[in-house]
Amino acid sequence: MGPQAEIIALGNPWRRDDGVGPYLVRGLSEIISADRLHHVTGDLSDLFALFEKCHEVLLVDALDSATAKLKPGQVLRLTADDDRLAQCGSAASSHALTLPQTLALAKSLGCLPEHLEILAISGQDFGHGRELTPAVRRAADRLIGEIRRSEEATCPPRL
Amino acid sequence: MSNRELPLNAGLRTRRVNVEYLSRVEGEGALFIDVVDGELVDLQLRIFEPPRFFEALLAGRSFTEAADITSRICGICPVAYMMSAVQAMESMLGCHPSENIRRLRRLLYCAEWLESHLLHIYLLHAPDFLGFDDALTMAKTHAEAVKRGLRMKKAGNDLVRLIGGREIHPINIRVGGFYTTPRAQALREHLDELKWARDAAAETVRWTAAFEFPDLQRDYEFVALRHEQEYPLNEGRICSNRGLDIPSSEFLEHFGEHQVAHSSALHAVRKATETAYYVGPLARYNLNRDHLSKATRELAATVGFDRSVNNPFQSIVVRALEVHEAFTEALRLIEEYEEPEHPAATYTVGGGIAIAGTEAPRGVLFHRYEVDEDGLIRHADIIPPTSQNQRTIEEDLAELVGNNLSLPQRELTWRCEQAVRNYDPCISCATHFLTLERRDGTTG
Repeated sequence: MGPQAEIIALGNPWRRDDGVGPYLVRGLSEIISADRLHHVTGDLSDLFALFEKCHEVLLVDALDSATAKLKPGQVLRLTADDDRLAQCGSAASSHALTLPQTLALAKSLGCLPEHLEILAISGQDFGHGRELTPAVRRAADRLIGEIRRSEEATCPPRL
Repeated sequence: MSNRELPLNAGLRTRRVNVEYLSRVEGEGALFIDVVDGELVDLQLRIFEPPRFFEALLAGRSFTEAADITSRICGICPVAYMMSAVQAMESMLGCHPSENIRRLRRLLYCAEWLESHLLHIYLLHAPDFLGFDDALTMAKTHAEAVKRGLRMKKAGNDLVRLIGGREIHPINIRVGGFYTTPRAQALREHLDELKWARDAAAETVRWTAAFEFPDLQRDYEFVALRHEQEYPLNEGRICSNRGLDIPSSEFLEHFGEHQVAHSSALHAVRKATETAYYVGPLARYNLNRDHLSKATRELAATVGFDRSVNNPFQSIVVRALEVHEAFTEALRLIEEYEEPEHPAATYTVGGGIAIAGTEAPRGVLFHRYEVDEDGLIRHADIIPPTSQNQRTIEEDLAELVGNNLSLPQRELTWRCEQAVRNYDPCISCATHFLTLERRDGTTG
């Protein structure tokens, strides 16, 4: 991911590990300007408008460790056509797009960002609550550190 | 599944249409039709999604919770549930929100219509008319149209988020009004995008009006709210094209529900005649066309829709006209918006019968609650539009199949699925009933 990438977090911060994306964006807000940080919750069709404006995107979402057969906190780095994306949210409604459907539609519409990386973080508990489970929180903190170092290496710190 | 064996190579006059899982509708349903020697012998719109028990969940909860609980019945029309619930309670309590609150609610309801109608037009229904299996496939050759629809839908999402707190299952609605109301400037920042969207809505009307429509003209009883001055959203009397004109409080005297074996959603009928009726965009349009804005009426005339519409396949054009009206109305409401002095009107807790009907995107959504003196709900009855339209959908299919037995099997099945989607059915909304048998032997 380059220094001008937009970071888009998906997920509901009130549903424990589903909020790992928003947690990561909050953790980056001190070093990355607000206009590069986004949070989409609920209707993923809002992603299309963001994609139209972005050349390079880092998308952060949670996936279910049980479905994905991963350990909680494990991180996958995926591209838009990776089959494992199917584990990032299920189709709870035919009136809502899943992430794979959203990315497939964006591809059909020609608005998929040229550079798109998906950080899929394996979550353990998607029940009610604001706290991440410990393994997921450690993974998120590690990623925040990595992104922070990458940003600082390419951009001088904001004073 | 019917056990009947149909003869092989029986010819076009003996047919079976069996869609085991309807796609591009909300919820879980199937379609089964048998025709033998040109006679319809079995037709079932099967709703097999399990009951969801919402009415039972409401028993014992505070009247203030009805809006938030019932909003969870549907992810695409939660505002409709919230509005019917809070207005029912306000009617019971004699609570009168200010005119500015009333207008803000109307704006929020417009935004929900936009979210719902635009999703249906562009992603769920247009593929039927253009010969695609789904929107993903359609997008490959109609990218500009799909992009237009998604951008318009986002304009609706943004308004629901601003007024309701989030775009799905809003959290800012309460009995008496809102928890907080938006600043005028925050709403006005949306004006430019809404003006673009209104023009895009006119393009949507022209786009859909150019589709080829299967020929089906039916003599429906259309039922919708009718307001003295406005195209109906939140308020109005329940009227029909056959002379019905009643307040919402008399709804259950004129409409009844029946259980049928093949559906886990109750079928609604007119009580006096045991006949089906039609709620939704066509009903609203045919009963309230005179209350559309001048701009929408003129637009309708340019595509030949300045008339009653009795072909259910043309509901996609009427939805597009309602989208144009909703953007037009949203612009007016924002331009005239005055920040309410108080976000909610006050009231004194009490009990009684709480009733309201509003116009959800798919038609009249009726709520009735019995509330005790402590403000606890003792009984809830919710009649959503899709359950009201079930029998009408089946009657459409019967006529459609009878008129089209010469079609090849694939085309006939396609046409039947398309006919179901004319209603944008929300099966998940329809399957919330529960008859609860208590240990004392009573039911409720």
